[in-house]
Amino acid sequence: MKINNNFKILVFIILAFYFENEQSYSQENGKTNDIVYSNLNSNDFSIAKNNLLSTLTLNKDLLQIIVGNDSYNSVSNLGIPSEIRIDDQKVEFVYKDKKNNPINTVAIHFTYLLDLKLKSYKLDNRQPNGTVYVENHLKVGNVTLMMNWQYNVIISSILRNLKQIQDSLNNQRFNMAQFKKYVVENKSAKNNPISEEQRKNIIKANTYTKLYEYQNAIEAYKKVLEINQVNYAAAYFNLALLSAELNKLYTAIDYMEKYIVLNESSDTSVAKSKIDEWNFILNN
Amino acid sequence: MKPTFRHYGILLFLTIGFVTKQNLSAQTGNPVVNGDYTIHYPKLSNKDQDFEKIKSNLTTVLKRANWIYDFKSKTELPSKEIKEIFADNEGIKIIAKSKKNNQIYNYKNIIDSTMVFYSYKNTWHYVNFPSLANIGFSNFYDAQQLADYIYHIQYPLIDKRRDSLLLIFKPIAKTYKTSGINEVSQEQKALFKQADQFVKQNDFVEAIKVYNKAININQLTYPEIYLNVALLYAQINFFDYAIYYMQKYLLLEPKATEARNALDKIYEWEAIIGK
Repeated sequence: MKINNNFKILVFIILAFYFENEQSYSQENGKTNDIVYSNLNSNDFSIAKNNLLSTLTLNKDLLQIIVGNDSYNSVSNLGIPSEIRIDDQKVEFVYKDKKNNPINTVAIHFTYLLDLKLKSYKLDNRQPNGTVYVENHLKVGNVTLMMNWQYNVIISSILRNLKQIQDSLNNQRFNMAQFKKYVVENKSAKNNPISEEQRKNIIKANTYTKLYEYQNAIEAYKKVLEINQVNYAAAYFNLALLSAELNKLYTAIDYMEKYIVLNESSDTSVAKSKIDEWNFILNN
Repeated sequence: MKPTFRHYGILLFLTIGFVTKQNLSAQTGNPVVNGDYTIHYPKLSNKDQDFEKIKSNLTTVLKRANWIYDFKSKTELPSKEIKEIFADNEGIKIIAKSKKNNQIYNYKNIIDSTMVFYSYKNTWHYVNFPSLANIGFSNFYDAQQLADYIYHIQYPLIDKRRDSLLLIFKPIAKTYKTSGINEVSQEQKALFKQADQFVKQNDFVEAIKVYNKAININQLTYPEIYLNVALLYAQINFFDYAIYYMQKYLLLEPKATEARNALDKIYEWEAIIGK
């Protein structure tokens, strides 16, 4: 019997290993394939959303919310939320019991996540009596999710879920597969000469960049692309660099990828190295 | 740290190398320093605001003015003596009342006059309406705001006036095409030389005056004058005039080798004033 029992455990462990390996394998495979863009859809968003809700509700009692102003000079710890709600727009942390608490709900809007660099960090909270609480902070704009350091794994899983949501939303926003399809279908449009209206907007964008008005420059380039998406590839390159300048790195990477799609035949090493640079900044 | 895209992005497609008789490669759109004076320019930065909102904003900005100099009576009204100041409904006229003698300063034509926005020794900033009033500020941003608000109301009128002037010029330009190149007179040649010298000394205002004298002698002898004058106006941040003269040049020589660059320059100036 003993042997049998041990055998069962062994099989279980091997099976677990097998599944884990397969999972990671499929993920790696997905990264190299082009399908990675097409298989992410709205379904993906709902899965990520449900994952986030389950991790948050399971560990609700360990989580504390800190709210600060924009400059993060004054912060206040609201404590453990009494309820967590989630819908298509936002995550809400509700405080019911505290009568003196001025803030009843704290919300994290998903659209806010789009170009945010998400990262958790360790913080030593020294009390006046000498004790030290080691805390783990996950800052999302003005709202910080806080847990004790021993629940490090939970915070990182919340982070992963938020990143999933971020990825799916970004993929919905840019829709690379559709763009590739468009480029293949409209090959003749690529050779169209630049129209007068486009040229006007290109020059405007250039002057705005000279005057450091980056937001205006981005809008001018977008007008160029409204007229013809594939006509002027340099617009994507410049849009990428401009949005990187405004700290919108996810947007920048996507524009750069579109630039590479349009310039497949020529040398795009500069664009690729830029993408690597931005990915490095986002992941570290 | 300098961002790299200024080198990539701008030079990737367009190299705006503008070759003229005068080599004016200096970048436009920055304040121009001329001795103690710095010439700025107004911008169409508040596009979405309606007239009522701009009117109320104008009065709040006007109240922050440090003084008003009246050209007619040649008197100065410091902010202490201003009893009341506001922008009125009829195409923005500024009304100021003094405490001492209850005199009323009423500027009706402010919308029709050209505006010069400059600062003196970087300490005093003026919004100047020639032969009407000179409004002085100690705070640069207040002066910029006042100039922007007034320019926002002025701009449609400027656009209309420019179009009507160009309509008058169109038939004259056609005669140039049919009659061929007229000969440049000795008097004009002397003026060109004089203007060149002023440009070499970076005295663009004087150069423009001399060129305008040459234009008054004969409008059609030498179309490049318009191009040069347009560029000179852009150098001293008078972009409305620059666009006007450049469009005149394009009417005279629509098929010139520099016509493409000239049109690009117009787009650039329109972007600078924030159209």
